[in-house]
Amino acid sequence: MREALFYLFGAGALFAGANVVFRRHAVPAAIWLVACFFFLAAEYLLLGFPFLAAIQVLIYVGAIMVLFLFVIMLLDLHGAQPVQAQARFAAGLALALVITALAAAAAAGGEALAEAQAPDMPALVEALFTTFLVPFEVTSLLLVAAIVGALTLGRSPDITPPKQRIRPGRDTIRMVGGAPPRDEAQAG
Amino acid sequence: MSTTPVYLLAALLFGLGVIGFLRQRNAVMILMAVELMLNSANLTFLGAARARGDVDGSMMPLFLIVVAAAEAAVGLALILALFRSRRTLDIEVPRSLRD
Repeated sequence: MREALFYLFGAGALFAGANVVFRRHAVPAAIWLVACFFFLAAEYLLLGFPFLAAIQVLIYVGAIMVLFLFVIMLLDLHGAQPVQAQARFAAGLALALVITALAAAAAAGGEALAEAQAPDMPALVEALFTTFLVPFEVTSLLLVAAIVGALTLGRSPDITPPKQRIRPGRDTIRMVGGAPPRDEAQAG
Repeated sequence: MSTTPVYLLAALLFGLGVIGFLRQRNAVMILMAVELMLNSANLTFLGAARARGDVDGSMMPLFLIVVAAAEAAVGLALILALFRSRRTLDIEVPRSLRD
C-alpha cells in the first residue's frame, strides 16, 4: 500500500516537474511547481517525515512560491517566454546525466528503508538545539543577510532625501519604475 | 520498500531541473528549475535518512529549505533589479553588472 502510494505520488511529481520545465508560460509553470511540491510533501509523509512534509507545504508553497508568483505577476510575464537556441543540445546533455545517475542508483542496489518511528518532530528538535546548534544559529544569520540583501537590491535606485519627495496628499507609491515625482507635479 | 525508487525519483526530478535550467532563458523560470533540483536533493537526503535510521539526514532538508528561502528572496530581488534597469528578464541581454 505504502509502496503503491509512493509510486503514484512519484509519477505525479514527475508529471508536474515536466510541466514546470516544458511550459513556456511562467504562471502555469509556477502553479505546476506548487503541485510538484505537494506531491513531494506526500512522499515525505510516506517516508515517515510528517514535520518536514508540513514545512515543505508551509514554506515552499506558502512562502517561496507565493513570492515567485508575486514577482511573475508584478513583472507582467504573460506570453510565452523565450527558450535557449541550443535547447536540444542542453536537453541531450541533461538526459545523459540522468541516465548516468539512474544507472548509478540502480547499480548501487537499495538499502531497506527502516520503518518509520513515531513522529519525527521530537528527535528533529532535540538534534536541532544540541548537535546542530551552530548551523542553526548560522542559518538565522543567513536569513538576516538575505533579508538585508533583498531590501538593498529591491530598493528603488533614485532615492532622494525625504523632504523633496513627500508632499502630503499628492505622492503615490509605485512598486516598479514609477514615474519620478517631478513629472507628476508638472502633469497635475 | 528499498531506497532505490526514492533515489530514482530524485535523479529523474534532478534531471528535469537540469533540463529546465539549461533550456530556459527567462530568469524566473531558471530559478524555478533550481528549486526543483533543490527538492530532489531533499528527497535523496530523506531516503538516506530513513535507510540509516538516524536524524542527521532529516536535518539537512530543514537547512536546505531555509537556504532555498534565502536564495529565492535574493534571487527574486536581483530579478526585480534586472527588470528595472533592462526592462527584460532574458538572461542573454545583460552584458555587465553595472547600469
